[in-house]
Amino acid sequence: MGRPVPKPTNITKPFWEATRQNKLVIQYCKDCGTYTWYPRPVCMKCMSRNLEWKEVSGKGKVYSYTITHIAPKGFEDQVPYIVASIDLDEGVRILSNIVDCKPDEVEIGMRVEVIFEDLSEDMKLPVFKPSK
Amino acid sequence: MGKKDVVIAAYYETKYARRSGRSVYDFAGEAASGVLQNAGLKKEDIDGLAVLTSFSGANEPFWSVRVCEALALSPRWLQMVDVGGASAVVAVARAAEAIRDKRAETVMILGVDSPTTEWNTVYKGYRAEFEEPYGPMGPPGLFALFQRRVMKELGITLEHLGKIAITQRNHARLNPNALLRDEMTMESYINSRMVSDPLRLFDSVMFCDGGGALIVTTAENAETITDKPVYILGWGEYHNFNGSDPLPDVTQTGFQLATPPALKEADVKIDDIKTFQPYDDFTVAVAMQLAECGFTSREELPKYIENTDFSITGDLPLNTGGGQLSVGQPGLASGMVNLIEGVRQLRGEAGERQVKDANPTLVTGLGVVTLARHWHSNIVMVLGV
Repeated sequence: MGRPVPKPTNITKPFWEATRQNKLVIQYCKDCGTYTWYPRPVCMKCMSRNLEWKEVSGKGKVYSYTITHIAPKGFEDQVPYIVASIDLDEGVRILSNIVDCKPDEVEIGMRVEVIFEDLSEDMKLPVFKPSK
Repeated sequence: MGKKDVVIAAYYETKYARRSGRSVYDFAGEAASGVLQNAGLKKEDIDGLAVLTSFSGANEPFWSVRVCEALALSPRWLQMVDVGGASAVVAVARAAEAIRDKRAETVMILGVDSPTTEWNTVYKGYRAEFEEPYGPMGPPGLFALFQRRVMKELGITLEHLGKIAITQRNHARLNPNALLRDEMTMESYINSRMVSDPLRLFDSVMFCDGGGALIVTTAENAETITDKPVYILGWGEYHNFNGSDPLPDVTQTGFQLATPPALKEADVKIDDIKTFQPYDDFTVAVAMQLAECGFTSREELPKYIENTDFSITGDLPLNTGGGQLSVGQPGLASGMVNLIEGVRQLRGEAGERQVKDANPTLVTGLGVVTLARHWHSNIVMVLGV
């Protein structure tokens, strides 16, 4: 896909460094035990800055999904494709694509797992495919 | 009813157009000059200015200052409101607060945008890293996720959403300033182009250029301006509902918390409301607000939509000017469409689409779609005469 390539900030850099090694990491609060998505300057539950990046299972289920028929610039030749919100087993909801899945096969509650797609020479993007 | 000390004393709405070729400042000038003329005021009478954010002008850090300077106004109170589509109604709330606190007496609220002529917006924050690489089709794509979940959890069908779209289109056919006035049927709604399944073209607004202005002032000052003051009876707002929950139920929104204080302050019950002018960027947002603002329960929502006549002569006249869905969405001046229609109905100036009794009217604003959630800002306001 003609995906735009993100420019990491000092907050998000560890996330993108992990995806390069096919690892999905999420911020975890060492004070209250909450996972926070997207990457933030503080824990979304208690505003602590005592956060660490934890590798997670990459498994979850589809909370909702849409089949994109009219696409933004750069994605036009990919339609129809699936954009979904996915609840990871560790307890955060993330926006992603579901790949290796026909648009009429995706459903709410479907189990999915992460895989990594090349974004550029040195960046990879986490997307999801149906779990077997 | 509640306090009657602060009023909307005048309004002005520009003509809406696609690709007008006009600068956002040109619309600002038209709306400011127009509302002054409608109010019979001189610019020296304006001692407060609230400017809504815009896609075309607010990309620079001094937007409200630039507008103030361009209009050569010298207020003692100046405010920019940047909560997306909620900005129009929030601006009225901010103006009322300032007037009650005697920081200003006569506030101009200006909401104009020209997104189909000059799009100058660059989004910052998480979007470039955690949303855009996945290619959702902007707000329609994100609202489609919301719509899918609402349809599943609350039993809302395309026919329910279609009824809202068609009702509002029928109202737009009586509004000469609405851009979309072709007849809509359930068939044409369902067969309208799929944007981001399950969200269709007719579930979604169309951008246009334009906007409007209001004068908010004390009831006392308004006596010399108009014999049709519209009272700001009460409001409630809530931002980033469930913002600390990493797994929120998206079908629960901040309107649950924003509505009760609005009704209480206005001393009215939801059943007293005579017209409902909810912010309508998408049909599903209207459907959800019917439950979230308390016209019905979540469980009864499908039946309520089926059994309620939302037409101008019906049980609960809904977005009587056609709403943004059929008028067009003037960028981030969007909330002015629903708000001005509410004011117009209360003043009895809605022409062919005038309802018999609009008092009191409920207007809402909602603003900004958040990542895989719903909307960020919610405001509910009771207006009356």
